[in-house]
Amino acid sequence: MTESDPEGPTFDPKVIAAVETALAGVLSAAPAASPGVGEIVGYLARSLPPERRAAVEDAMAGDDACREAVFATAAVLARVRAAAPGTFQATDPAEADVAREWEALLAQRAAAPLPVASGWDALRRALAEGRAGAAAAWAEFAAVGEQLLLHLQAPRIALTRGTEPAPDSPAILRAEITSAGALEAEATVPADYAGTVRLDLWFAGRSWPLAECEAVDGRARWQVPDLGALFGLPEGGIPAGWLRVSAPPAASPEPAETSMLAPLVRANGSAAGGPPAVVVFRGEPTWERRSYTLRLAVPPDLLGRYPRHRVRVEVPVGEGIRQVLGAWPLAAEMEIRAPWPGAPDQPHPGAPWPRLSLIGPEL
Amino acid sequence: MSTGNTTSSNVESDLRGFAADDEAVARRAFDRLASPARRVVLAYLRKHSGDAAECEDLAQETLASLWAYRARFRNQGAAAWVGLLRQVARQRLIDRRRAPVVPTADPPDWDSLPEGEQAGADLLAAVALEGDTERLLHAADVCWLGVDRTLAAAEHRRRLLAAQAFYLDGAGWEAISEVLGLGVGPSARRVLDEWLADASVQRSVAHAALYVPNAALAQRLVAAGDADGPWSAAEAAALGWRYGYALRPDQILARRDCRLSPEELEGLCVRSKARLPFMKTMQRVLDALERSGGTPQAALAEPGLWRRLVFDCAYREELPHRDILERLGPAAEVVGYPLTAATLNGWLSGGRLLRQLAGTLGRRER
Repeated sequence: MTESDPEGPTFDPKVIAAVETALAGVLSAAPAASPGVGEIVGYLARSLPPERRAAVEDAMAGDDACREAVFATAAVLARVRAAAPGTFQATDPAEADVAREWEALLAQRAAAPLPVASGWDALRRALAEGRAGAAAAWAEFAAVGEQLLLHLQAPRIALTRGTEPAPDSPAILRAEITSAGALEAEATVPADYAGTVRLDLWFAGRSWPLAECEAVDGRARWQVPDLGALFGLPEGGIPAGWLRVSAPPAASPEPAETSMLAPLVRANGSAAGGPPAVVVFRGEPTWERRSYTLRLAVPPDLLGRYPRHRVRVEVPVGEGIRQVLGAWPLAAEMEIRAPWPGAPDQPHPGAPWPRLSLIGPEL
Repeated sequence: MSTGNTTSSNVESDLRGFAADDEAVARRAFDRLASPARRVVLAYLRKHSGDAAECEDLAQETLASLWAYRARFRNQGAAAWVGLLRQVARQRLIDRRRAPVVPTADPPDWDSLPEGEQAGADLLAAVALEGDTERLLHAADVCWLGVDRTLAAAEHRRRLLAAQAFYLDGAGWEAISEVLGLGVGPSARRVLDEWLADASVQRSVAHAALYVPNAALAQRLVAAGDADGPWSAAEAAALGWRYGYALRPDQILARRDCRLSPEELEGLCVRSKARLPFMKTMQRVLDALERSGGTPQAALAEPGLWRRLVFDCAYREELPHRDILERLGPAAEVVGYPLTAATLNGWLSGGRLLRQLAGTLGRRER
């Protein structure tokens, strides 16, 4: 139902004339211009700041041809993203434009420093402001959340190989997602410490500051609104190993090895069921010699169970948007190099953590 | 006298500042008021002068006059401020017609401005002066299309896009989900199904299809050509004036550059009227919504959809009643809504639509 007429006095003609003039001044503005292919690709990669995103959507809502162009671009982009960077074969100039814009965006991803160290709240603000690299950094943060969700779905698999905290260092007592989707955590800190205590989400040697609080009587308590909702985490406890408490100066342990869960998928990409496999990273992914480089160790039992499977590597590029880099046969020790537009020549840390999956053989 | 409780806007506070005795305070307030005032004045002048350079000059003169009249300015609210802008701009226009180089020093007629409790009108005028188009149009969606008032404009736009893609373009839910970032799996599908079945979303689809800005309509008619081929240059120009600028046939004939005879123009108007897209568009939307298994006719035959469209025609495109009826009447008939001249008169002449919109804006503010 639409809203009913309001009660109250009518406007007199002088008022109507004035309001009409005021409305004409603002409502008769020029219609939204049709976005170009670069803007559309940015929109689809969720890398545009809110006002440019809104402009694209306004143009789509008001113009059938613009909407058609966005959906056609999305279809091409899905094929571009499924091919390794630089290998997509365009069949017409329009497809070539989409591939070029996408590669430019990937190159931007390699060049932009990730502002993850400033924390997820700052990251959210950077995203809202459309700062360079924010969308990709946000995507990586969300990908860590995906790993956390996978871990919760397969709780028997031990992942962390970090060192045990020293007896007098802060320790997580409780960490849980509330029914409202917030993360609530509590930790002990040295009784004589009075100052700011930071809670980080910690994964694979990188930390994302989540919240700060003041320690009181040897306890620190934090609440991080939306975190559970953002990652789609169910209500309940989360592993303390994913969190780190630091009373400045902050120091995160840097493990030489990191485990990551890889879901099993069929050759057609659909979920194959069964618990995800554990794959071990040697060090961190890097940009190196114009490539994205990562080193993996595959446990012998995994090789024995899935001798003909391949490991597919995808990297987060935008919110919910990934680029497939390729799929490689499983081996005990793997060094994967995939070309990446814009990657530096020299080894350069800060490359995104990938999403791995094990693909079954073609039947 | 209007009071500050009618609107929380900056406009109200700037108007109080402009009325202050302290010249520095008044100057700062006027500097902030000048930009929206200029936009309103230009919109008013363009209705009365086809000369863009003249409009710019007159807008500048109007602002200068307003500052000169500052000592006698009384803050009577945003609607009265816009009334003053109109009055001063009109006076400058008349001066220009009489003697281009010597403007009169006659002050405005303060007593003729809107006065008294004009809460809704002040709020509407203030939001318009702030240039907050999205807020105005979202309030119009809430008021007439039945959009949930707690829904953000951006979220409503995503629902509209999803429905347009599904109903009008035949896109699959996976493609829609991908483009709009809805996620994957059954929950995304459920969300989309809920959106598509929502009557307010269906009315929004019809509204977006039927609201065609003047310039786009003229362009579409000219590009489509006549039954026998393209329009002549003279015919294309006349179509631009008729539909792009909403000029009446007598106004078109009065133009020195019109190369059509009265009979030729009359024939052109008859032929172009038959080619207006609104009835076919309404039928296409109705068919698409019905094919998807719904019963949309009732939702589309509610007055809200037609009030929203009439609001757009009257206040965004500044069309006269007759042109509004020419565009929307046949489309309304398709869904069985009786849109008549009397209906339009009731909605527009008494300011009924404006009061409704002001009411919705006021409720949203609270």
